[in-house]
Amino acid sequence: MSASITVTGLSKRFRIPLDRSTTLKYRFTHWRSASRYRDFYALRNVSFEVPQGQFLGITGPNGCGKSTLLKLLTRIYEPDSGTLGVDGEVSAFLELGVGFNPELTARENIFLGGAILGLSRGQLEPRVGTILRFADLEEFAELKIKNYSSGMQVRLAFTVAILAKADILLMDEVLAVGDVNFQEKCFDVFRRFKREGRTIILVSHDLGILNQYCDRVLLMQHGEIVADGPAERVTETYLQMTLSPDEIAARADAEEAILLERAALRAHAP
Amino acid sequence: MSTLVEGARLDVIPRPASSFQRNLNLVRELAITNFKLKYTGSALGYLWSLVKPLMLFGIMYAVFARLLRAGAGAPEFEVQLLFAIVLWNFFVESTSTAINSIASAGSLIRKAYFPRWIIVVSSTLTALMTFVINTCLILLITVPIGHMHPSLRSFIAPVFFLELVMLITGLSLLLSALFVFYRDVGHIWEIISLVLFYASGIVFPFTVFVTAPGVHPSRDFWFAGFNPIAQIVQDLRAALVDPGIHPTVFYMGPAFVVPVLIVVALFAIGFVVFHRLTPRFAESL
Repeated sequence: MSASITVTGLSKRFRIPLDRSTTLKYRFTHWRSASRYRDFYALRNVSFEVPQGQFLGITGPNGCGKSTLLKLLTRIYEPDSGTLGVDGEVSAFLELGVGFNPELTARENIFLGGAILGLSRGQLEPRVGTILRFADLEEFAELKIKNYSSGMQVRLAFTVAILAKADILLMDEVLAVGDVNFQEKCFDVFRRFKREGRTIILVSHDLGILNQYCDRVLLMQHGEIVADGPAERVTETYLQMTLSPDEIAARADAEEAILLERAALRAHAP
Repeated sequence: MSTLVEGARLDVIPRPASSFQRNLNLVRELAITNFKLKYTGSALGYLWSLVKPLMLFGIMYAVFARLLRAGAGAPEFEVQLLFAIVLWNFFVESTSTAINSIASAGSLIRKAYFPRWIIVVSSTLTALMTFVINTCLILLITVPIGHMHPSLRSFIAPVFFLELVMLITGLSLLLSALFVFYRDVGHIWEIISLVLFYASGIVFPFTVFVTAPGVHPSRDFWFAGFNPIAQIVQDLRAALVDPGIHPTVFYMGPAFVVPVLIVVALFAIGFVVFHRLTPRFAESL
């Protein structure tokens, strides 16, 4: 199968300023000292390929560079070195409701959010009814979304986000928001996307979700890929990396306890 | 939440193939949104964008035309003044809004990819919508009562409107990109705007800068004549207000191209600076 995403030797450096220089006066008065900063490598020489149709998970401790990688793939950041090949139409969900304006109604936000995805008003207009029905917000079409509950906002945002046809989906833990039902709903949609042969990249801390859905997981640390392989093996590595053997045992016990409890509840249910 | 699935089948929509089409969609949607947001929540709504230039006109008229007798003898000076103030208002409103546009769209820039110039251009477009509406209102009032004298020369007016839009867009690109890194730009621009207001012959006729056509032009004259805003205002007055008003080429001869070249140069500089700084927006905001 052909590769949807090819990343070779990708590096991203951030300059952490050591002094404040956001005013021109400072520039003028300190022109000799140039700018003092230290380099922080958020990504170092990262290479990987994602074949078309793969569900890839990316995980790692905070600050390991996974979000930076996603932003490079989305073209929000420009790499300092390395190459990035993306073959196909990309939809990125770095946050739900990007571009939404709280002062506007659901209807207006559909046009605005849609336009950020590249869709025109003409394409959206005939579908507004369906979109609102899908998000279960038919009665609230003309209500400003600042008056929506957070659940309603998330439903609208998610529905708009999946509107545009895309070959590649990039997601950054958007699933952390919303209740269990909503997460289930999201995964229904992702399963459908997967069946349709789209490539999905999901950045998540939730090892359970990674194990359940991903074909492959990349584990990152200090801006580098430290493990790459089938989900279960990599999440196991991650656990061993972060937790002591006792903690792993405790965690397994806790999971078992939860399962037993659930089974007990089910047994008592009428 | 189970109702989410039942009864509604949501099909994905293919995006328009051309990126030009997509960018145009986004410019339009953002401009419409800006325009709506500017006037929602206020009782008088759009009227405010008419009240402001009219107030400025009232004050300037009282001070300059009545007290100081500026423009005495100039044809239709009241209309010249009103028209120039509406043009000026467009210039100053659009540049001062655009200057913040990139910085205030930080959350959008950090979370979604699209060409960043779209934000600046849509901000300019919003100001242009207000300007077009205000200009139409003024024409509706002044043409029938005989204070505007459109002539054959009026056909050249769109060229100068275009020059003004180009000047505004170039400056907006330049200022909005610099503002991300140096917040002083906002204050500096306020001061420059104030200087420009008086240096552009808004509140007095262009002839103030000239003693007589063809006669040894003074330094002030060249200063005013090379200022693109003075040139645009004067040429639009000549084209639309009264045939008795001379276009700048009448006073300046071949040097009339200088302000036009300045506009082109500013646009090019704005474009290049914006383009160079764009990759750093997402990480700086």
